[in-house]
Amino acid sequence: MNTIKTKTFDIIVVGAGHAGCEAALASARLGNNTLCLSISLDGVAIMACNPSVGGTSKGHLVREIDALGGQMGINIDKTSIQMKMLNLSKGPAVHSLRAQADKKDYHEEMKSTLEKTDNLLLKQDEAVSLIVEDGEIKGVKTSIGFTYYSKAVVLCTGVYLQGKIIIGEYTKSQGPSGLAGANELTNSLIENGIEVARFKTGTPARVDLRTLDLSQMEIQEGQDDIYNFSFLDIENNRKVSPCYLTWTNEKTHDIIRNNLHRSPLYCGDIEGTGPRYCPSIEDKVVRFADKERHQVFIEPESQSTNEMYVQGMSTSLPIDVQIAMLRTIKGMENVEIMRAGYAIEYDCINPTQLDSSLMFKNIKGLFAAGQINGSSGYEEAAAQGLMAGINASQYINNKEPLVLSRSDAYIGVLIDDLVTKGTNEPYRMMTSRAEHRLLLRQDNADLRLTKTGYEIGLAGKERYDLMLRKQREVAEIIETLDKAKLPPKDLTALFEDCNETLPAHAISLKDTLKRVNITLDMLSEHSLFDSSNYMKDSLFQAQIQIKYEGYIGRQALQVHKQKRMESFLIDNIDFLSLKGLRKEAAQKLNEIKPKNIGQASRISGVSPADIGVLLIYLEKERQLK
Amino acid sequence: MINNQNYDDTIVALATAAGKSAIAIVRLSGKDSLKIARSIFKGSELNDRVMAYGHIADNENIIDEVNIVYMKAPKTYTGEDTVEIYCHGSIYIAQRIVETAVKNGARLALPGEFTKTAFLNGKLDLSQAEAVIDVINSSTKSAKDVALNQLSGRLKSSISELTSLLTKCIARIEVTVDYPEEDIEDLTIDESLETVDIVINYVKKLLLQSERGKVFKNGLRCAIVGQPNVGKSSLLNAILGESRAIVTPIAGTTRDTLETHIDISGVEVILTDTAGIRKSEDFVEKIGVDRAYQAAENAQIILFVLDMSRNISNEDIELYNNIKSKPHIIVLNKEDATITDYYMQLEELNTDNTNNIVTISASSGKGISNLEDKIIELFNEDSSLLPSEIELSNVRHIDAVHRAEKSLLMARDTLQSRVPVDMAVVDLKGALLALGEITGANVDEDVIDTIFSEFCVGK
Repeated sequence: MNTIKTKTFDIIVVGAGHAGCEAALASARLGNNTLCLSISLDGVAIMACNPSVGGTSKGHLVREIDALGGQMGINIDKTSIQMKMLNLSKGPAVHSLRAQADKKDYHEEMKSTLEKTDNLLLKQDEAVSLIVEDGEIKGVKTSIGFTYYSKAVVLCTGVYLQGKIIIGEYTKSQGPSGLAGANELTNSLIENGIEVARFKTGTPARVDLRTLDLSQMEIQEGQDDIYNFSFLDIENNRKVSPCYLTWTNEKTHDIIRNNLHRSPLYCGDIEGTGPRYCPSIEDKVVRFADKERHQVFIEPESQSTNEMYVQGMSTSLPIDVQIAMLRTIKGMENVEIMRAGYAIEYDCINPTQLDSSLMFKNIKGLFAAGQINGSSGYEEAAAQGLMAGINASQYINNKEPLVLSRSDAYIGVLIDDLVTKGTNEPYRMMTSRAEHRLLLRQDNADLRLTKTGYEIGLAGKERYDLMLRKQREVAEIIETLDKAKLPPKDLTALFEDCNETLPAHAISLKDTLKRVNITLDMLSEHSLFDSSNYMKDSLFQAQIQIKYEGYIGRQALQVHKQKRMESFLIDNIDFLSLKGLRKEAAQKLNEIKPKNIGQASRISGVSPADIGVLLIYLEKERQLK
Repeated sequence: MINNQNYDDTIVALATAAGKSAIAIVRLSGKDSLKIARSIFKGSELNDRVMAYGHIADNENIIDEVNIVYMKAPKTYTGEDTVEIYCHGSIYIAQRIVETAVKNGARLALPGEFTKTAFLNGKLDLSQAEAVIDVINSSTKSAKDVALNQLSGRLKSSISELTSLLTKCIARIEVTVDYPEEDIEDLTIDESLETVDIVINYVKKLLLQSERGKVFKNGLRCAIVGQPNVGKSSLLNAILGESRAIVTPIAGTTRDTLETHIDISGVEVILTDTAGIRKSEDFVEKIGVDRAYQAAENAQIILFVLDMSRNISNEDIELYNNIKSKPHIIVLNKEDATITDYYMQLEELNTDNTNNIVTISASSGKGISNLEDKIIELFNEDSSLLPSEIELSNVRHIDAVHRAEKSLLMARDTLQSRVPVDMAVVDLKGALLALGEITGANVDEDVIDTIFSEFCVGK
């Protein structure tokens, strides 16, 4: 085929899903001439599964993306049709914001964001092969005959690589949401020595709103308080749309059980590994046979469509079974399916082939982000996309990669888990994966990361100044409260009001705030503290820092110890040549190529004794120099 | 989760080879060495490089009379602040001192860690690097084997029970944190407290048992029993391959029972050398004899020793009748002078235990390995010989359980202060991590596995 040679780009991003968009935006905003390829321009930033962004730990990721200067937070703030802060009854570390998204608007908003960004070209085309010379990426070739050259490429292929959808006995080679799949790139990856795996995920049916009896369901409203993902002030004056809750019942389960022989999951037609945390309804019914009912949430896909998402009913059962089982559910007796639920299998890579900057260890300049790395979820994808975009830019500009540590951000935990441990199922972020989660709160993502984003050049001045102001105010509030020591007699009303026992001696307002029932609002109400000069965010932040001072301090100590381990850097070593390492450990180390002792110690199969040997080796090298 | 070991910790361990000297050295190294030494040492003031004399005590209980020296960094072996404690050369005493230091904030050193620290602080020259690696490797291997062997089946299963209780409790909290909208009820503070209290009580019991001086007593109890001067102490020494008991030709030298812990083919064996059992008028010896009967009573296997240079006496037969209901091995000590018809005389014992007769020479060590095999054989055959009590024996395990206890107490404080229940997870995980070191559990994966296997969550 004759290929048309076009101009050279700095960075090419393959794919324009949640990872691809963040990667392309970060790259372009950092001043790099960027090309973003998408199989379909109607597929830019589509939400192929649930119509929501955020939730536990994922909400944290979105805030971190925002704090660094990424796009997801801003765009979901603009297009959300309901916001909810989850876990408010729990500790501040696990408060999590979740938005119901208007999918169509989110797609439009992101597409137009890309289109408006300088240095960024968005094109509909399919990358079919990589151009690699001497272990360095040189560009990509596309299906319609272009060859694009670049200094770096970011692969964000989502579930498109050899995508295959499965609905009962019906299968089709295809991408998500009826879009075309990408059937050629996998071979090029394999030819270039990249190890490929096959994962599976699934989605429920979309049903026609007019065929639902919502009066039979429980209405689920959002919260009245105004929350935003972005630390910037983003306006959203849309009307709020509720969701609805209903349940499966024994009839539903009977239908599923009676048709298991037709389920590709159980008759072996599905070879990919599916996620445990995203079980299909047939999986739930089989594995938790004694559970009498399962929740089903009905969520709008958009305010401009009748399509409703049936959360909780992800399935790959045949279409007739899907209809029959849905119609057993209260309020869905006459339901009509608009789009069938399906399972999708796709190719991904083993992420331990990447270093912590998300660059392939064996191909310089080639990065990967999102589902291709074995992760799942829009937020996980966006977080990786952002980091891959930043690091592709750092790479071509000969700068040090930006690697967030496990104690900096959930993003750090996510990427470290993927590249250090790998994953044998689609990886979902969870708060329980973050060992320093008391520090990695959604409320302080800006304090943790905005300075970094600003220094890299992604977070703007407005964002940075806002963060500095918050930082200053928090310090001021804490100091003021600490200095205000009051005798018990001045605190009687407050303590009575809050149902707390009055102390015998004078106590600082800061210390009163450590009582479970006393809040900063209460102090203001009792005219003990003037909060009028401060941002709401600063007040909230100061309160958390005071109330949980002890816990935060202890985690900070753990972080200090972890950082110490991470300060021992490891250059290129052939671990197999090190005397004293057990062979199993040496092989693992050679595979992962950890950048520091901290990372090495997290590799499964590497023991404390192996770490001892490594430390000795590093010291020996240092002495020799 | 991240490995528990850290490089800022103050570490402690026995610095001399176990049990082969009259004096043992326990070494502390790290920034808190002096602080920890001061909290366990009662005696004259500790000054840099001045030998002090006094006692090591665990609270009010005196463990040993010692000499102790504090050496300020950097001119020390490890290059860190160091305290060395010179105590009596008993494994038991040394381990008790190590344990007390652990209770007061030290971490048990990993194998080879002093040397490693020394190297990392530039105290050893480059040519020694590989030697250091060898030390780390060789000692890790044996320490690991020993640790595994020392963990009795029942202890392991009870600690596994604790970790599973904790794992379930954490998973229950975490599932409602990560899946707040599933119809799973939140674990209440009181429910969590209940679990934490169960685990704390058990952990406390474990620690108490280990503290009562039973550190090395959860193995197989073997009592060496026999008439005075048949070579019981020589037998013990032959087994130990070292001189620990006093051996003299004067009858009645071993006046007390002497306990020694050894490892035979991976089974922990507690050997008790009893005073020669004979009717005695000597007051001190009498106490010894009473204790000997008691030791024989408590033993799970009795090594009944006969001297082949002496005719079997009525006392021998009487003694044998007293112990023969217990699992036992008849040990014939064959020295130079041996009575020719000795095996005939054996019939007078009227034993139906002919399978378990072993001939040895206590002075030359001949036949000792046969005897050891026999002990293990008997142990394997007889299920009643399983340890009767669940006890912690390994200092490394005790160290881990101490850390677990500390974390659990903090978790309890958190729960009692009525802050949200998820705030306690950090410490609950800390406890789980510590206990996981004993059973080899992978804490984070276990919690996540439990979430997905016990609860139906996800969209």
